[in-house]
Amino acid sequence: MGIDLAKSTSTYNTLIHLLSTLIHLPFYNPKQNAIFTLPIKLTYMKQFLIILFFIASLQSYAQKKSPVSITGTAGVTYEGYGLDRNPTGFTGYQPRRPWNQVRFNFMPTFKFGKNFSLPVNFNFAAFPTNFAGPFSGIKNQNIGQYLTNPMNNFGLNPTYKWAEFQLGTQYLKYSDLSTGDVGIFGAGFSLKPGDYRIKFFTGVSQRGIDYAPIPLPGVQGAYQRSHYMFSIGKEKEGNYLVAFNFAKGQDKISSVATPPPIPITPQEGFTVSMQVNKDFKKGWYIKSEGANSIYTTDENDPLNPAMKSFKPFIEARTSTTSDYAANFSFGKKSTNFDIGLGTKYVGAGFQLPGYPYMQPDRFDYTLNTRFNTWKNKSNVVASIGQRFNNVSGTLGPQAKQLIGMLNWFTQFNDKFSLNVSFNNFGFNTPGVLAPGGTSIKNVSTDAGINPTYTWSNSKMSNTLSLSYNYSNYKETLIPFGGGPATNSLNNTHTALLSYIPVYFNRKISPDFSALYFYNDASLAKIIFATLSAGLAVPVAKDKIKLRGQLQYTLSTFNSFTPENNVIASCNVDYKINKKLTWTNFLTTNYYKYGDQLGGTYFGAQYLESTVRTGLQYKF
Amino acid sequence: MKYKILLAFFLLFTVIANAQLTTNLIVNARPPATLIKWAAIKGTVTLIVNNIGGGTQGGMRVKIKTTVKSSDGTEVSTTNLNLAQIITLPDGQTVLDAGVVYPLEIQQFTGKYQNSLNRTGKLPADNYQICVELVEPTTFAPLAPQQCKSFYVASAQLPICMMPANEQELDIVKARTAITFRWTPLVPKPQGATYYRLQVFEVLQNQAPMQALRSNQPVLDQIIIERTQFIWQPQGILGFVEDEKIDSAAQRKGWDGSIKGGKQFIWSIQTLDALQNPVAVDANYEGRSEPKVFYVINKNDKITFPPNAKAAAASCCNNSTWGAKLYGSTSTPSSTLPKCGKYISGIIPSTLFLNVIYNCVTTGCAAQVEYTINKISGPGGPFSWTSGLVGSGTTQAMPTLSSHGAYTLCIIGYCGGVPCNKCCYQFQK
Repeated sequence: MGIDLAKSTSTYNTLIHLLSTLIHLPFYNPKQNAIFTLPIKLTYMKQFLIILFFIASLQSYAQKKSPVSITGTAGVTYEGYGLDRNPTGFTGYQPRRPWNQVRFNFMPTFKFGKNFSLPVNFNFAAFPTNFAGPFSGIKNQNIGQYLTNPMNNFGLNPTYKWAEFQLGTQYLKYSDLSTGDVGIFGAGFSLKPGDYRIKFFTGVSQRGIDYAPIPLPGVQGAYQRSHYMFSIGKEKEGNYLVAFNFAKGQDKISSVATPPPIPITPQEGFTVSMQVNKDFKKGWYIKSEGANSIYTTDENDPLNPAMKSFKPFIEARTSTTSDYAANFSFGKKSTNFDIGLGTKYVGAGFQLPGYPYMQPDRFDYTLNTRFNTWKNKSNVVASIGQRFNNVSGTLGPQAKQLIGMLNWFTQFNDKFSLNVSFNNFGFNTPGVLAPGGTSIKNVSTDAGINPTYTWSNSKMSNTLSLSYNYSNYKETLIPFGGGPATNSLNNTHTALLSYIPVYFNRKISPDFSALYFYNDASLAKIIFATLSAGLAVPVAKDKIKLRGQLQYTLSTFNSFTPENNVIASCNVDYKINKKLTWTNFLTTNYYKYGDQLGGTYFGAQYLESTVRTGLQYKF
Repeated sequence: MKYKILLAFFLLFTVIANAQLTTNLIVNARPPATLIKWAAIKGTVTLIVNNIGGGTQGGMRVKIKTTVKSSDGTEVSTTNLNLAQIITLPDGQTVLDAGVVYPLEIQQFTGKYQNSLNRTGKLPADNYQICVELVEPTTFAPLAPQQCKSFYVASAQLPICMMPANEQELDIVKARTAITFRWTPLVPKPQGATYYRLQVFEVLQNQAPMQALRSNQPVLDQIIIERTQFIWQPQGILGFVEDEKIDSAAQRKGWDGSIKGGKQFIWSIQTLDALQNPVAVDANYEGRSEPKVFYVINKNDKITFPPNAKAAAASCCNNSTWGAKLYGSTSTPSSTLPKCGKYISGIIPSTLFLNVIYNCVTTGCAAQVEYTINKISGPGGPFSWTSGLVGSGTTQAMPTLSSHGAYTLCIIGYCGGVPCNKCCYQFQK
């Protein structure tokens, strides 16, 4: 553990040399039709590396002089993307990655003595690439937006005995029905004196973003959203938990100079939840949570005297709703047998500022089980459940879903195993009693069988695996007032054969597979035939790990001429020393269409390449 | 007599005034289900008033009385005229929208409709009738004939992402060629076309799934018209999944709790109407369904062999067995570990030492063991540690576990460098 100063300097120089090489690597950008080098200032990289150097030196010092230890990783990764489409003007295939991206990670954990530790979690990227959510389309960020952009993490969690302080970006999930799953930049704490649990955090999940319709595609804009969360409870791990959670989120109206256009509105929400979990003897357990949310979709709306406010946390407005949600599950867990029942209800007006995409107005239950049998050689996992949407009756027709799953694995002996799977989901809604109110019925059924045979001798083992899946998907539409039903039918057959030899005395690891995929839909027949081979081999006294994969796919669509796809990928991981690894990944994807596109684009093709290279330092 | 004359004049003026106002009510037959949106969306309710009388100094002062009734005639809401704003109608035509005709804050809702509005912001799905009339501000006497129109409200249910199911594991060998996505349709089915925008985001190292959705460029961004299935050819996106460790909160774990390599993706459907605008029935007005996560793994990952099965039946492994498995809080551990797969209770991992013997019978096959500790759940983020290969029977100190939670301890027995047996335990810190 740790490195001395001389070695640190050497490591630093190696890093600088490698990064200088990396930064000046020429890369082709088809968008600009030019060769360019990475647009990152070396000095910026240097600053990052100086920090690494400092940490490495501190680590060295820590090793020798004081009870300080450092563990964790740090690194930098560059990813370049290229897409060359022919003929000129063909846009049938769109870029899938940013042209250039540099990502940094700095995640050491400093330990000072026995009781104090300081985990650091910095992960950030050079260029914003947001496509969904409030940051989508943003190109130029101010510092506040950069810090709260979900693509960046800047978190510190200094911990002293049972007291943890949470600073910077934190993803805090107090429970399923209270805080949320978005990152919040702020400050707070989590205290665990004895069995007591006290938590508080406040921060901002997004800064105000001005509406900017141009340049296209524009930025929709967003209000600054602040969060406050608090939890108090008592917990004995492996025994019980009782906790009350409080969460508030509020948009700041004055946070934007150019407000986002309707329908985006400044919102506010307050939630109270109570959790009770209990573990009993012999693996039995109960988990439950009930919550009430009060949510205002527009803070500009007038106050609503007809509705009870919850001052000082939130005042009821005409767009305020108050509704409930609950989770309840119980069951038994053991080595060879699990059984459980889980239910969830989310009221139509239940909304949480921290769970932006939670779908309300539903009730579902799932019964699941897992058990081992036949001297633990056979394992069965199964579940069945139903979901009801529109419990409130405000959504027109009620939709029902049935979801069933079974997976049965059996290891007959050292050589032969068999996996059988079955999945089914059905969706049914009677439609609305109005013109256009079509009834819909969807049924999806998937069944698979996967035998695997392994044989071996003193030099190698061989694994041969066959897999066959049948998938049937049927959608039926019945128009309002009767009339003939419309059926869409999809039948898919997938067959896969793979062979994996493992050499005991040689270092190469090859694998081979052949796949046939046939989809027969109402107006479309698709066939994919794929051959692929891979090889992994360590070289240079195991300091370099090479891995390659080659894949060829022939595909046909209806009666059009076949399309060809070749994908070649390789990984080269070079372990420079015990601490430092240089990772490289390159993949190139060539696709040539048949006559499906017709006209000008007959025989169109594209070449897509991704290169990723980076240095990872392990403290 | 004087009063009778004045009363006659008043009645005459009232009749004249009535004759001066004509109204025309236009209502969207399928307005938004959320009533508060009526004011924000043009064309939901429009009242055109024509004041043709002229001569009224400063315009005519009126209040608007709006009543909504259900299909069976039950009153849903009516305007509280005492609180209603006085509107001054100038000569000529005046166009009033829902914000003036049906201001929500002064509507009095009856029983179950008030409950529905408080809980959901919506009316129960049904056919309704809205009636509007202009009344005199103080006496509330009608100034123009009542106008009524029918409408139907039913909020849309966004699709539910069905396949791949949440946290489903797909085998990379199949997924490299094609991944099939399925979702439920938009309900009720609208009369115009529905566009489904399918987006798939790769969850990068050190990212949480929602973080990936809100920050990454999608690796698939495809619009599908009407259909609820799409077959995607990833074409090189998947790479070498076994090399990737998922460090996010939703770590992928094997049967024994160990963290395995795999790529994580999050996918969602954004529903667009016939004009390709989001069907904005959700709080974010994005029309985006609740996202689901799936993994692409290498199911032939060699470390995933089941408990007590011989790894690849390698000759070195033949008849190899576990010997003594000791643990303790000193450097000479003495307590015996329970049977594989059991729960270890009452230990303090911060001072834990292990000494496990693995016996290899075949000549020339050196016996070694490897210890791994993974955190399954609990606060303070993920934790993962591997000892590397150590000699059988060598005492090994475990790392200090800084946070509370549930952990797994796995011991792999090796013969001649080949993994032969795996034995795992769970414990709490």
